[in-house]
Amino acid sequence: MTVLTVEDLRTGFGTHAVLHGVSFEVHPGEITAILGLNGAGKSVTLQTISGLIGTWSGTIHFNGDDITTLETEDRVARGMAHVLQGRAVFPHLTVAENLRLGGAVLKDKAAVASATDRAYATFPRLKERRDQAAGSLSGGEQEMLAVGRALMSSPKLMLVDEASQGLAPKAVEHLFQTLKEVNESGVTILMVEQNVTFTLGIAHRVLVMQKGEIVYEGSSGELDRDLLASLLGIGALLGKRVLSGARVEAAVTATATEKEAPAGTERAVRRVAAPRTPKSRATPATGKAKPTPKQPTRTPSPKAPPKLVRVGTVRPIALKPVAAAKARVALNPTKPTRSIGVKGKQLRPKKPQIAKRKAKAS
Amino acid sequence: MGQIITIGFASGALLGLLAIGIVLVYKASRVLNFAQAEIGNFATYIAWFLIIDFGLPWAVGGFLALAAAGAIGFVFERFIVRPMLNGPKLAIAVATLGLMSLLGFIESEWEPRFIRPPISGRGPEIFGIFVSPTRLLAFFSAIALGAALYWFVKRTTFGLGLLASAHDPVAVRLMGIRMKHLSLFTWVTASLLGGLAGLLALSATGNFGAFSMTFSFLVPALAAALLGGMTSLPGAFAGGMLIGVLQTALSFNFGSIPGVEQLGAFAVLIAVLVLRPQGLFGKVA
Amino acid sequence: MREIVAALKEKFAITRRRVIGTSIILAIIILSPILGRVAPVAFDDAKFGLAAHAVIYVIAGLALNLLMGYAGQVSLGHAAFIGVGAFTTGYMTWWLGLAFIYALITSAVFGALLAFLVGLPALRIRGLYLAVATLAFGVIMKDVVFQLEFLTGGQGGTTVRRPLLEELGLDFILNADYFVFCFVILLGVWLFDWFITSSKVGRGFLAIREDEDVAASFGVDVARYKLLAFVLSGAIAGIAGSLFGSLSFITQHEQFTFSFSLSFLIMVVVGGLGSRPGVATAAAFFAVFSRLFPGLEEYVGIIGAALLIFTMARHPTGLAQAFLEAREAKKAKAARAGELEEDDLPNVLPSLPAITVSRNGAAPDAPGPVLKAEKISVSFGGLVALDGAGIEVPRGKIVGLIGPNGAGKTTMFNVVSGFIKPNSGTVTFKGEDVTRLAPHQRAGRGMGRTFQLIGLGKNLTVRENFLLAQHTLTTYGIPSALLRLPRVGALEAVLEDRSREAISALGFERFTDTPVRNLSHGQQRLVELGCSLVTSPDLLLLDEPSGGMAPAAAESLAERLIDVRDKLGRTVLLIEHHIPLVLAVCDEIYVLNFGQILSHGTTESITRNPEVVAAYFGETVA
Repeated sequence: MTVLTVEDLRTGFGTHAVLHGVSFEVHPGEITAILGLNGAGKSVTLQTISGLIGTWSGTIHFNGDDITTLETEDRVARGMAHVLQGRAVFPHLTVAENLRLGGAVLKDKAAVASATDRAYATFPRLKERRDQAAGSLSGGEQEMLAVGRALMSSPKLMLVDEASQGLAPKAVEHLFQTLKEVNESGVTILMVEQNVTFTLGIAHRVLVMQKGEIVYEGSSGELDRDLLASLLGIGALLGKRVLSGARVEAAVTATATEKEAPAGTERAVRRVAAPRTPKSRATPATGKAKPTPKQPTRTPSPKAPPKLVRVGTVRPIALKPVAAAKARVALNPTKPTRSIGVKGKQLRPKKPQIAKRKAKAS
Repeated sequence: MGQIITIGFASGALLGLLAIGIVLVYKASRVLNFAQAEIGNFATYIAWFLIIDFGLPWAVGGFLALAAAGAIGFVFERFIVRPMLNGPKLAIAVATLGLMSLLGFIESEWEPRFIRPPISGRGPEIFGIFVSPTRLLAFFSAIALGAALYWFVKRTTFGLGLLASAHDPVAVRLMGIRMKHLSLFTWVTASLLGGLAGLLALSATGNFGAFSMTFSFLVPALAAALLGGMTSLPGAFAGGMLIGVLQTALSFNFGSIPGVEQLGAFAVLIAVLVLRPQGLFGKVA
Repeated sequence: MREIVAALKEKFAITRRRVIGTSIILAIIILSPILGRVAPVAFDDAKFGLAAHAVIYVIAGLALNLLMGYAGQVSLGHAAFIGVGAFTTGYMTWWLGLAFIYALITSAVFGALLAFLVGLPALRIRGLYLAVATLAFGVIMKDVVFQLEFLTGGQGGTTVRRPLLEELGLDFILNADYFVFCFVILLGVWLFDWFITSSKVGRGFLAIREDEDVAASFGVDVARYKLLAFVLSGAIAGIAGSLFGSLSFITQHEQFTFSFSLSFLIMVVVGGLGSRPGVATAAAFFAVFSRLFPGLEEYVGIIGAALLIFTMARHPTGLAQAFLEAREAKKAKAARAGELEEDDLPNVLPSLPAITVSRNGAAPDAPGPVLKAEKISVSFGGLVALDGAGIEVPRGKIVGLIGPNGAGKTTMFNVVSGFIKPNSGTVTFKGEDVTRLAPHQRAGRGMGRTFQLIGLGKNLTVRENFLLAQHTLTTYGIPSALLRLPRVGALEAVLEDRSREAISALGFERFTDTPVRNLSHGQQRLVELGCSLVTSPDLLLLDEPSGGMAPAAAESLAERLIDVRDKLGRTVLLIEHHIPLVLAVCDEIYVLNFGQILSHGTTESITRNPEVVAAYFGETVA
């Protein structure tokens, strides 16, 4: 049973669309990381999961329950905690008061007391400063407080939004170490990060987002620098030709076979099928697509080997022939699989989706 | 001087009560409640009906009037404020103007009244003047209520959530504390505070009519709330005391200028808005 | 003969509606005094008094509408300005014995002056706090100033005389005559209001109401226009006050209570913020109802208050607006059926009309880079956003600004466009040092910019946005606009033509009168680009242009931007997070990290620098 299943999430602000169909799963006991550049939609994804931003379409299932329409407070009551970007501690309240608020969902005083003790045990520095105003703590300590506060409710899923932002490298190291320990004690974590290096060190699974879509989902072992760079969209900055189509798969499979897990584990590389038949878009282009029909939730067996799935092609720019002739070295002039050059009322085929909709038999 | 302080404290305490109500509402919903004073006026009319017309004892009538004030706050929050919480805050503030107006115009249907104070008698002599028991009651109950509220806000989780929501309402939601509960609590409490302030203020003077509380107390109460930086409860109370003393001092020394007390409150208000928007006592507690 | 008539009809835009309207107005003006004298029983003088009352309320309502409805400045002390007019007129006609016309003019002037004083702190105080300040101001005026014996006759108030035209033997005591007098003034005010709304003054007000930053980016001097709104509102309110005092022959401080201010607020809000006819109707209604049945005055208040609450809760932009919006929504829906796919940005930008503009500041083809920002340092509190960073944008090129989150790109943008003042460093635009200039001044010199969340007046129509965008091209001054000198009309026609051309170049004719917020995101982005290009800016700053777009649309955008550079010859500086777009489009790239320029060069040289990728990966370079 997954802790979290997100399906075809679409949302944005007003007419400003940010997520264009995001789907993924979070497995219990793991650290799942979402990487991506700014503007990719990582934070928005987290905020949609915790309910701070509403969805235009798509569903969210938390421990099997459909929470798509639930209020944030209800989601928190069911065991979700969210550490906001930029620390978001209450600066004028003391450390102790901040923690106390974190335990607001706990029913009785005893639970709060023991949760507080646990928090101080995990973060001894906080205990020292328990009566200090949270705003006077250093950046790293504030982040600890934010995490500690989120842990007060013994959440089943902890969402962490760019915890490393604005912290000195030492503090980041300490923070990630702490997150690792927290995870080892049984807390499932979904974290959003820009700091790739540290993240790859502790994450079990990695999702890469680009412009509101997931372009990669797999275990962190499979990613190497070049591949990651291209997935983030900055591959071109490495002077590499951006890989597309069969090339990506080959590279990915090659890397995968090199880092083969214990013998006998199956790795399935699912090739993306030919573009789906275009969905008729009867609604006007306001970004509010009709809700997609519910797909059966996939329930893999607990020890399922990590599936390597490539989503879509990496996205190079389609240039007009004239521009291409100007030899922009870094870019791959290969057109993507969609019919971008056709103007007019051509209905565009839907982007190739993760081909994992089939319900598994075992 | 002692007289100025005595009288100033007495009226300042009432201003403090009103100001606390204004700050409470602002902390939770970022809205200015312009009806804060008028609710008290309306409650006093109801008290009049119950006490003078029906002949109920003052305590009972007063209590019921307070309940009515709380009910008004409840209804307004539930049906007007809450659906509007996601929209522009200015619209809610204008709606409170409408509420103030509505209450006042309903009151205009009834003639000005006279209500006797809850405790009669001349009261003790302090600094050479007699301080009526009502004023004493006002002073002490204001302090008691202020302290109680402060304790609640600092010591209970819910109260902490209220403090925190002034700074970051989103993060408070993530603690599992519902904004609707916070909103309801603040509006009802603010209405009760306003109701009490009205009852005590108007029964001390005796005569009152439509819009009385607003005319006399709204601007100074707003100034007091601003002195508290719109975030500090004790700051608002202190601001109220300060303005009360200031107003009394002005009326003692410059009584010939019409409306000089209002002028003083206005000067403080503008000074704070332009020079120091975070108030003199602004901190988030 | 028929041709002459047709030509005349066209020249003076004679339509049937106009003829009827003008006839009614003429009828009122001519018939009222006659009927008042000839048939006093049927046309009872009191009724004319009521009518005059209504007219005065309309004038006062229009004054508040100008301030709140157009410019979006909340004012809860409107009664004070009306009172100033009334007391001034009383003082001048009764105590000084001067002619009414002088009193009228002085009332306007004093109202304007007072409003100016109120407007000054309003530059620093916004929204809710402004409401509080104006409320307090209104209370003070009534409680203190209007009760000062030497000014206003203290508690008793002042007597006010009616106007007197001795030569014609008109003493305007007869309400019918006075009604006509007030009505004529109303016509003048109405016309004046029209002058405002059909010129850059009204558009500037609306822009301020929508978004002050966007207004500044289009060249609107926000501070000046805000003050202007206050001044004009105060002047008209003063006139209303003058007529008001004269109507009842006496004026006292009790008339100008807070609830009086509130009544006008109700009229403006309920009638529709920004809608002349809406406000006029509400005002007339209010006046007539509250006086027609004296016993009902409180009920009017109650109903009005209830309406206010209801309107705020359901339709904060006013009931008239809500009605219009409902109609609009239906039209927009119909227009959008069968729309192009969101991702297909039509290939239209190159066909936007290109104009040559002479501007303040250096000529566009002065040698050297169009933009040079040197050694810019910005810190907020303890946080260093920019640390000695500098960029240069050569003419006719597209320069990109990239970097990880928090690197300082947006800060640099805001420094260049003038929304942030740097702690040190200089910004040179076309060879001129503009570091100290405000955003609207830089816009006037040819700097255009877009915004992340689309820098348009979202409640304004596409046409209005295009007109607003040409603010820096309106070479007539504010006084000319207010007096509607002939060249204003001529220039407005030019602006309208250009807007029409641009709109049809975009293929958006059907959206000409649609509020921008009803368009899809891609369409809004196109309108925004069109608006930023319509003045042929010498430098265009694009703030995350592909934000909110699906990846495919972003690629379409890349092609459009290349057209902007090649076919329209524009110079562009852009911030982007979508790197493929940057690499496809930019001639030069600056990479920012931790407030410093990490790397600069062509796409080739950037791609060869390993530090750049490291920055994105969040690695510290060993």
